[in-house]
Amino acid sequence: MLITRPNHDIATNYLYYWSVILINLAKKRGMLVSDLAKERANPLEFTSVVTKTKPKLIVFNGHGDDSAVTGQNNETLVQVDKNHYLLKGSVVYARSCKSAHKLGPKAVIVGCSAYIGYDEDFVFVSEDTKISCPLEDKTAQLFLEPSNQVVISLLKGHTPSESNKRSKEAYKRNIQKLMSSSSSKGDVELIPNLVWDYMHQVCLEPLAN
Amino acid sequence: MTVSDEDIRNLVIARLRTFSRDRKISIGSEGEFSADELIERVKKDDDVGKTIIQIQLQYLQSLKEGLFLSD
Repeated sequence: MLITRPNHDIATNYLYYWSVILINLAKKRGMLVSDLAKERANPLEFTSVVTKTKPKLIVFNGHGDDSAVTGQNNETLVQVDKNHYLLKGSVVYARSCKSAHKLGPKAVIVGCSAYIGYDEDFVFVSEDTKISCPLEDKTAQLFLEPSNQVVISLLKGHTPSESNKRSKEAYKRNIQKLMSSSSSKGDVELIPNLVWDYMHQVCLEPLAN
Repeated sequence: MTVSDEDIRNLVIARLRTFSRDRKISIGSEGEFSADELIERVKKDDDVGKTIIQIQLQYLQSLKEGLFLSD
């Protein structure tokens, strides 16, 4: 598994720490992990590691847009019509904004095994008092645990579409929990944002699949 | 009855006014926003404001369709 986890703003800091859970699980399952953390999440290193290790699974954390995903300080790691062929042969999960709109489909066309990502902005809600300790943020947990579930399921051997489904089921459970009468009024306000991620997380695969 | 864009903006602003003061919404590389900051963005109708409107409208649509009713 190759995982990128830049850390240069609040959002990437959250994803950086919530990715530790994925790295630990992958190592526990005996998988070789290339951890491109912080400054290592740069285009040169990314290209070098992908070319040398040909990872079966690539996990991106960071920002992005329709056509690209970025690393440390928003440097572009993969971009449509520039180097999207690097994703050939890998299953990709991109926890970044919008890249399933253009980059995902293009990657699948050139042989990416599957591309799980978001066709709109990935959003989450955080607590002001937990910014320095993201793993203790129970509000962010409602978003980041279900998104982590994509990778957890892949690591357990589930197919990309099944992993996407399991992740969305985790979102759905959180949404339904917050909709129930036992939920506090303050937590109900989180539901629209969870629904958004649920609706816009997609799994793109070659047509033959 | 027709609903104008301004009606929708006002509905979203009303919903944001009840949002907790000790939480922020992270919207990709746009950054993190408090409820007051989001209300300003919705009033300005910029990209962040438009995203927040879409988030709220999609939620209301999901309620109408019963997408998250317990099985």
